[in-house]
Amino acid sequence: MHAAPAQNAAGNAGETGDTGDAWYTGDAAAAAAYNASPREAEDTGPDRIYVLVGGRSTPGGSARLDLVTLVVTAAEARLGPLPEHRAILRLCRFPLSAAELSAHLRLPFSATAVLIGDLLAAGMVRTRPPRRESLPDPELIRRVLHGLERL
Amino acid sequence: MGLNGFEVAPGLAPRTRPLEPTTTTALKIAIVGPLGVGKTTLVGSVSEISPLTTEETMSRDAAAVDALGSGSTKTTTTVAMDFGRISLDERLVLYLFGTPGQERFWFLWDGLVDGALGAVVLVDVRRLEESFDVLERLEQRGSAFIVAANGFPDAPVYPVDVLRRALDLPAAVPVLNFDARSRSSCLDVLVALARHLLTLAT
Repeated sequence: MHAAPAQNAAGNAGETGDTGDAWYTGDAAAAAAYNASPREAEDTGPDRIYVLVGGRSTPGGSARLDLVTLVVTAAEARLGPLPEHRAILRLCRFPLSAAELSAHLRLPFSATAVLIGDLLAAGMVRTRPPRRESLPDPELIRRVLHGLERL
Repeated sequence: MGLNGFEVAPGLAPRTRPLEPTTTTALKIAIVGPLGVGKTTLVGSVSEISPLTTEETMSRDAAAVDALGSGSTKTTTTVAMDFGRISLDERLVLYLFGTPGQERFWFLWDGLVDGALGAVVLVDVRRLEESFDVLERLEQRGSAFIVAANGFPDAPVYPVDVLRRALDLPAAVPVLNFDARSRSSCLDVLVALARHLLTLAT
């Protein structure tokens, strides 16, 4: 019974949200959208989180998201059912880790993972899973070392 | 100007920017240690973005074993992890997560240490005993780690051999002194971990 008003709120927001093409047109606009994203999710109290994830605790139908799973918006995706979905789509025009999305949206990681799972199931984002070998291959470690030593 | 032009965007928060589109692989390192040992300072010293925070709410099961939970399974605790990031090359990005070392936060590690390249255990030489549990835990898990003692201005500096003995660490585990406020010193710590990983992997 809590879900019905949530759906309505999401629908209304969807019709009034600034999800036009403007931010696709230039880097400055994209940067502004990127910077604005934390503010559009101000209400992140327990009630809002309940609205967002509706008691779901894991991303449906997809592999478990890691903190550093990189999320990238799929080329044609523009709209999502919730403002937070659209914020993710905007933020992930360039790759961004799931942990960064959680921080920018000011949502718990588990709630963020559910939202990413929604978008993944809808084909609106793609993910780049992290390397998780127990003992990484030497070539990868050499790249890490080389990268660090250049800094 | 960078590929996506974010460096010059007006109004953009300092050191806030997305990854290059070519980034394909993310790696992570856990920075573990007790409260106030310098985890976030280290992350902030080397991160290319201002440190961010991700939160997780402790599950009821985890809350039930929380020594501070007074046995109540209805209490939920929110735990924050500060993190930052370093782009290593056009395809590779390294994330650094600061995570509390206390036993009641170990549930966080399921998503962190297991998939991490390795861990840096930060110690304060004035309270080494606070790091015993976390070191034992990492050894039991077979995780790759090094130990770095943060040099607080009012704390004594001990030779690494003394620290190694006090922490009962095997000779193979690198131990070093560093200053979490210094970018180059923090980079030395990360390089030491990478060299240690390379030794383990070859």
